[in-house]
Amino acid sequence: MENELWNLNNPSGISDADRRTFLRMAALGGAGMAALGLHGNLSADDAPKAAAREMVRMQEKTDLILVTDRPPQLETPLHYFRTDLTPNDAFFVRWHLAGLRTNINPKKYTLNISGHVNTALKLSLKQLREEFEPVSVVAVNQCSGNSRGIFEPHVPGTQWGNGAMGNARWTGVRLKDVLAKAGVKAGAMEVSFQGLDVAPLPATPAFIKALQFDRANDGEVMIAYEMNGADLPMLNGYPLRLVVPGWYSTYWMKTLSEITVLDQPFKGFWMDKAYRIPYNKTANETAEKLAEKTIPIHRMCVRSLFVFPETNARVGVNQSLDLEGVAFDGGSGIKEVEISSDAGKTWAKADLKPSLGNYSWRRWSFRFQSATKGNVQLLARATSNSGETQNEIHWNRSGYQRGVIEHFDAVVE
Amino acid sequence: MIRSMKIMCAFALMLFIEQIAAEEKPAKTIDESLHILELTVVEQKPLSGPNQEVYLANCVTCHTTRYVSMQPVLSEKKWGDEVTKMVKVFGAPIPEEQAAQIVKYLVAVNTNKK
Repeated sequence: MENELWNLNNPSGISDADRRTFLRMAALGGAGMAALGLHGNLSADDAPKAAAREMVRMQEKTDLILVTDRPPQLETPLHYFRTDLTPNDAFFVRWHLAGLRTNINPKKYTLNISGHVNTALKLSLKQLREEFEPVSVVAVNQCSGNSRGIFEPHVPGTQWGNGAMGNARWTGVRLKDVLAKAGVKAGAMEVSFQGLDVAPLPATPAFIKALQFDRANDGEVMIAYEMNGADLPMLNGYPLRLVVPGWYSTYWMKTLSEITVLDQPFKGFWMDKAYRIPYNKTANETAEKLAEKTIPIHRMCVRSLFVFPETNARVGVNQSLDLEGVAFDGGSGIKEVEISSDAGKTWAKADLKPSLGNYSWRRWSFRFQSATKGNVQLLARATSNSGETQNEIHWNRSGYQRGVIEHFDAVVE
Repeated sequence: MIRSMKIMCAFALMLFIEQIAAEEKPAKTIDESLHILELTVVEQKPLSGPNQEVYLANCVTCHTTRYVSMQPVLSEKKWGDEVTKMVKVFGAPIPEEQAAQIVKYLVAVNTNKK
């Protein structure tokens, strides 16, 4: 049953009544929505503002938005998303446990594969590079809680804006090939992953994530040793990081060191209690009526984000405002992005840039012009090749899997 | 003479092909040096509030004060849930009466944000 849902695409689970309310509120603008206490699609005014946020330059990184320094959590300023690939030094950073490994000797680094296998393996970085076929994929890496800071009602947690994501070319080896070398015994159910980071307190649950065996062994999940053609920055998980294309980055284990094949479901805090979403098609619930059942977050929902210029742009009557954005989903690829300037009554297609593969984001552009003065709110809606599109209302208690149609405010003057 | 020219041509061709191959696939040099990560601490003055010393004594072992200062305005119940989670799930050894003091601090500094 859960498997079934895990594989479902994300058709709108929103009622027509909700939709009508949303569109009416969108017509009123963000202030109207906020005044009426509606949650879901907020004016970008409520977004944590890059300009007002402290910047920091950490090792191997350029100036990024400081979210927390211990453990390090850094957000990428939006303008870095104007290119297909996000530079390594601008790539967002997110650690859970403050005890990062601060020294790594690549000559001695070992990746352990154990558990329900015929032969437990201890692989060196050299062996990974030389004994397995290298593969590459361009894929979006997005934090489950990306954009949490703009959820309304607000929810506790890391208050990300839209920059807890990036798109990179990942190079490494197929997990499937490594598992085959170890020889998986019949009856494997899940595979768990652990890195070298530890908590300051021994009583804190170790950060371990698990994938169902069929996902882990699908030939797409990778152990990456390169990001955009270079070693991973230490803050992004050097020397090895799990890559789970199409899935949220909570599974993309950094400083990957332990892979364990399990003949029973994994039990642990980070799967059983944390990183869970409402058990329904759109991971939606309301503060008044929380979902009774939850499941682990997994495949990314379709999104489209305004990237450039920043919101609250000004443009003259009949002048052009060239907008840029990115859109992506959980792996079917982006079919179209549409823009509305009349609260969703009519939609016009944005221009899509060439695709770098279905796990990559797809950049889009749109030229907006208006013959009349006044405030305008633009909406961006993406549709994936699998037919999944975006909803007008979306909220959950943990601020995960944001997929709501985003706004961009402009003043025509 | 002709033969030696042929050999030279063949040799030049080989070099040429090798060069093309080299251009297509540059030999990757693997950096095998010891990698050291210097963590960056960005000092922040903790928010002032009642029981600040209890908060500092118990909470910043695992995380920076920014974990509190970044939060949106939350209810007392939500803050209580957070502290309970730190104790029960993350294993913070905080005595019950101190946990209650910490919640008071959190609510006070968080409400001041409004």
